[in-house]
Amino acid sequence: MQSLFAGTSPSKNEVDAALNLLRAENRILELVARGAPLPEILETIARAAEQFASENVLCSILLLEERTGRLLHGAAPSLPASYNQAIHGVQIGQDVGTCGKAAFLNQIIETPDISSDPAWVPFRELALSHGLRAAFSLPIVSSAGKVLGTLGIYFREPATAGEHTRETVQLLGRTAAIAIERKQAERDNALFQQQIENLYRTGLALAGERDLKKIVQEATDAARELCGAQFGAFFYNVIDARGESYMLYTLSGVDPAKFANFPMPRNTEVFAPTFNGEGVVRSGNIRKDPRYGKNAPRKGMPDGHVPVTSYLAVPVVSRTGAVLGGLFFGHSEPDVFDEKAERLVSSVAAQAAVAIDNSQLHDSLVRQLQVHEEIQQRLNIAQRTARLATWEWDMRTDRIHFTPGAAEIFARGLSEMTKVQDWLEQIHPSDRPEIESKLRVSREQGLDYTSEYRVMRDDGQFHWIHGRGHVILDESGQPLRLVGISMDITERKKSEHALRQTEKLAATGRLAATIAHEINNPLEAVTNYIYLAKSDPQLPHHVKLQLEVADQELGRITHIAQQTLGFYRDTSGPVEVNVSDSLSNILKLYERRMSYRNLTVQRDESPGLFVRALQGELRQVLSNLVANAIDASEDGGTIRVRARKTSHNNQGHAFIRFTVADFGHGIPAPARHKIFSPFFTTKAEVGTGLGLWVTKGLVEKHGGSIRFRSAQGQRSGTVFSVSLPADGSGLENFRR
Amino acid sequence: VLIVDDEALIADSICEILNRNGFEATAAYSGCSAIEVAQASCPNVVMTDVLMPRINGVQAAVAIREACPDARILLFSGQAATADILQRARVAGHEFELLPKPIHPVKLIEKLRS
Repeated sequence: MQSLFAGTSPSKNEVDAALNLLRAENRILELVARGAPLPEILETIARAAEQFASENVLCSILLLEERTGRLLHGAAPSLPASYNQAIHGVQIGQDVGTCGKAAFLNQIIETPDISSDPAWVPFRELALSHGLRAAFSLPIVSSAGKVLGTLGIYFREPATAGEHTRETVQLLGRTAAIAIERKQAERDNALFQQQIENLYRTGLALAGERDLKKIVQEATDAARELCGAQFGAFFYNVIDARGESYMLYTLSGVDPAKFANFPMPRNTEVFAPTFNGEGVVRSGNIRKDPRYGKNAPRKGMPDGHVPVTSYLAVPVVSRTGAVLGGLFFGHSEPDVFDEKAERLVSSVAAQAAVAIDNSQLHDSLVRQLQVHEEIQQRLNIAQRTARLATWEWDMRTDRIHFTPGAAEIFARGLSEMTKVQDWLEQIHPSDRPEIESKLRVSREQGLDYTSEYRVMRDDGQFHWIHGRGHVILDESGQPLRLVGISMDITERKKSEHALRQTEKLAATGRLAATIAHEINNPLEAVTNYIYLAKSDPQLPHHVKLQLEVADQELGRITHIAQQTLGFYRDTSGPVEVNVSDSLSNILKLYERRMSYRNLTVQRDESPGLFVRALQGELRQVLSNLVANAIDASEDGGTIRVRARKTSHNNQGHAFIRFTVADFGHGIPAPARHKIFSPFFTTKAEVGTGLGLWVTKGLVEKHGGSIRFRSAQGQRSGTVFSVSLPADGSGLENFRR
Repeated sequence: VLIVDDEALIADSICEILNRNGFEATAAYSGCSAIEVAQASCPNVVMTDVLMPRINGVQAAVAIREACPDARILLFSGQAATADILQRARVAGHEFELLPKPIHPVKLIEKLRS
């Protein structure tokens, strides 16, 4: 301003003009302060320039588009619209008129005669045809020294600007700079506000999202909008349920169909920094980047790819350092992404990383929970199947906690057993004191606990339970808890009992067999001598009678001995026995006895049956049944003998079933459960009570079973059926 | 009839029973002497115990059958091990009648007369 008054004695006119100019500038600054639109402010400036210049001038304010270096129309109220339109968008340069040159060189340019100035060559006709002959242009420069635009004046005659005009234009140029800078700041501010808001909204949206697909879409859309990209993509790694990693992508601003046929990006030089998490790649023109186009076969983007020139790629890195993926953005124009865009996208990438981390954490927690639940369920099933429960007794609170399997073992449900007393009450009264004392020992001395006891169940049966517990001590060594298991061992107890019974029987059988064998020889001798004695003709009659009785009693001993173990007891191995032949042989043995009693045999066998068995023992089994049937039958009765192949157990083994049926009086009900016991007989005069006991033993030795049905009264009779494995497999378990 | 048993009590008593019932019975007390007697006199019937020391009843019976092909040979035994010996003989092609021990004299006589 000082320069306006630089002369020694300014005229009153000059002072008035200067004051008016200052007033005009004040009005302009007021407009700026009020936030008036930029075109209105610029037009006011242009009019002021025209008004306060010493010469008759036409003013033109042009704005420089920084990114492209083009001059855009700002204000030129006195210039014809056709001229303004022609100038709008012109690229600045050394030879682009006065304003283009001023903006390009960032210095004041004067063109005293447009018609002869080389810088005007391209626009000379345009200018001259609009009556413009000379020009003066001042770059409008920001406080930071950046060219924002130009303030130019045209003369209608070849001329140069006088000093006053220059000073006026310079003053107004600074004012214009303030106005433009202020407007740009406002715009930047608004944009920044908008971006901050977007970023914040994106952050909120991402933080609340657990669905990976939605997270990546949200992040891609938000980042694309923030950085002003035309195209966006998010390539991300996914880990499937088997722990294998693969890559998916989502797009923004591109028709997904256009990408469907492209392969996944490879780790090329352009992509590597992103997929390796090394850093941001930002390029004004990726096609000119030295890293671009290095990889065969395409050497760059595949055909049909969206036209990417500006390129921005930001890795998405988890807080653990693992690369989750990358955000990629493109624009068909060059130099679209600036540092700010990079920062914004990086910020979204960081938010996306946290969201993906959280989503994966959430997923893995859910998976872990599912696995945990599954394990727990399996454990419960396993415990139930094993009739087992685990428990924990807190000694301080006296609370006891059982796993669900306990409901299967004890009489009470889980909810009815919360205190130790609840559990103790179910225990058999005779066993309870012992358990109580063992628990006391555990509680007082910290000793582990083992017990077997009985529990009365709802079915009225006592179940045997085996319990074990381990004491957990606190830091001072005081017993704190007792943890352990309870197992239903009823089945084991039963089979132990059965085994003992079986062993007892086997031992008895062996003893009997040994005795019987040892007495056979002396029996023979005694029998012979009694026979000889009683056939002595000089024997007194009563002695003869006594010897007769002795002979009969000896006969009984012989019978018992032979039945106990069988004369034909086999020590040879099993052989294939023809069922039909075997039955014929046995029935032949009894032919005479049956014909004496007038008994009929009905035979019914499937042809070609074979059974692998110890021949002598099979014969003894069948002859015992036939002999019993003969004894049970009325004179003139019928005996039915059948043999069939069956497969009556679930392992699919074939069995041969023999049935021998009589139509006698049947077995009295009270006797039925005792018929297989040794020394039990219904034939007091002739029976030894050993036949069926031995028979059952032999059948079971073959891995078979023996059953019977008996009825009394009308349609009375007894049917015995014996099933033996056809292949003799039952004998494999039997070794003498 | 030749009765063979390593227990003399049994061999002798059977001989006496048979002799009283119209048979002509001789006793031998081992497999060896049984074979000698048989080779010398070729009896109609030989009845031998199975379990005897050195030469058992089945071996004796096989030898006697060779010497006297027409002789009827009966084995008698009250021992479980008999089955094994008999089975082996059967495999070698020798079938013999088997009588249980003890056997009542009345039944024995019945058997011999049949």
